[in-house]
Order: sequence, then structure tokens, then C-alpha cells
Amino acid sequence: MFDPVMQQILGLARQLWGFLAGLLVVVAMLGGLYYVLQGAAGASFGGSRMVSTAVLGMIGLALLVLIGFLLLPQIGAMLRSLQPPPPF
Amino acid sequence: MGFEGVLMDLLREAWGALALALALIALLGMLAHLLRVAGGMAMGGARGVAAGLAGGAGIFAIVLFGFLAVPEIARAARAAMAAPTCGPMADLAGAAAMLIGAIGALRMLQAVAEATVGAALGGPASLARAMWAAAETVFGMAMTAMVLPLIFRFLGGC
Repeated sequence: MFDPVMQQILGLARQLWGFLAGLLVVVAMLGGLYYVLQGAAGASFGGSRMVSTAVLGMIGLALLVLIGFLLLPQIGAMLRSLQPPPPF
Repeated sequence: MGFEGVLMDLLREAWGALALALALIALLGMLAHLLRVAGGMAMGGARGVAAGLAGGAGIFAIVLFGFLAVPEIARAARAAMAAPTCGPMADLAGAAAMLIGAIGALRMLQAVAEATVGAALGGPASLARAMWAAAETVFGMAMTAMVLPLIFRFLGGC
């Protein structure tokens, strides 16, 4: 009875997942560009703290994207396997 | 299959659909919070990063509660229910208690799903409604198992 509705919801969720993943890439790329600009500015007038902040920020953003693309699907598979059968 | 069996099958299907929806909501919510963290990092806002990480962890904790604790609470409530042993009405009282337990388990999972939606949208992650639903379920099953035989006894059915 619920299968057709769940198929519709699954389709919507897949589209939303694609949209959010794309948005994550865009945000990470813009953030990376910002950090490149910050690092370049710091390097050009000798601000070592700005450069190190920019490098660390870029590494953090790359780490976040990796978490989003590698860890979250694994968490999703884990949640699917944890899905409990009806207790009644 | 009797009317009770049809109802139980329907409730079991609803449980499966609700559990799947809960997993979907949780996964999308965690991705949204990750996006929030990335946005916070890109703009240098430490508060957004902390809120996003806490929100993702909260969603994960709520879903774990829903998938691990809710079925156990439902099973425990059903196991702890006193068996109604009052003549011909025993079957009716038992079926009613089972249906109340099934509906209560669904209500608990629904409350967990609502809490997950709220946490995914950036609201507070509260499990109070799920706990309230659990208490109502246990109370309803206890009332059905204990009070119905008393009523039937009072009416002279036993």
C-alpha cells in the first residue's frame, strides 16, 4: 500500500541528495577560492598567519567534502541495515 | 485472515515505510548540516561550524534512538503487559492491547521522525514527544489489559 508513495519519496530524496551534493561542491570550491585569495594576499605582504589559516581552511574544506562523499553514504548504508523490523 | 490481521499487516507496512523515511530524512539532514559546516568554514564563521557539527551528531543520535530504542520499548511494553485471562473477552482484550501497542510503536517512530525533521531543519533536537508517546502506549496497554477484564467481570461476562 505504501510502496508507490515510498517510490515517489525515494525519487525526490535522490534528487535532493544530488542537489545538496552539488551545492556542497560549489560551496567548497568557492571557499577554496576564497582561501587561495587569502593565502595569496598573506604571502604577498608577508602575513604568515594568513597563509597558514588559508592552508588549514582549504584542508578542512577538502576534508569536509571527503566526509560528505565517502562517510555519509556509509552512514546511510549503516542506517539502512539498522532499520528495525516491526516489533509487533 | 481476520480484521485484526489485516490491520496488523497495514501497521507493519506503515512501520517499514516510516523507518525508511526516517533514514532518508536523517541522511539528507546530515548532508544539509555538512553543507552548513562547509559554508561556515568558507566564510570563517566558527559558530556555524560548531552548530552544523552538533546538528549532524544530534540527528545521528535521534535516529539511533529511533532504530534501536523504540522497537525495544515496544517489545518491553508488550512483554510486560498482563495477560487478560477473563473468559470469552480475553481474546478481545488481547487483540485490543496488541493493536494499541502497534499503534503506540508507530506513534513513537512518528515522533522520532518529527524530531529528526526538526533537527534537520536546524531546530532543537528534542525527543520529548517520543517519550510521551512511549508513556501513552504503556499506559494504554496496561489499561486495556487490566481494566477491560474488570469491566467484563462487573458486567457479569466472566
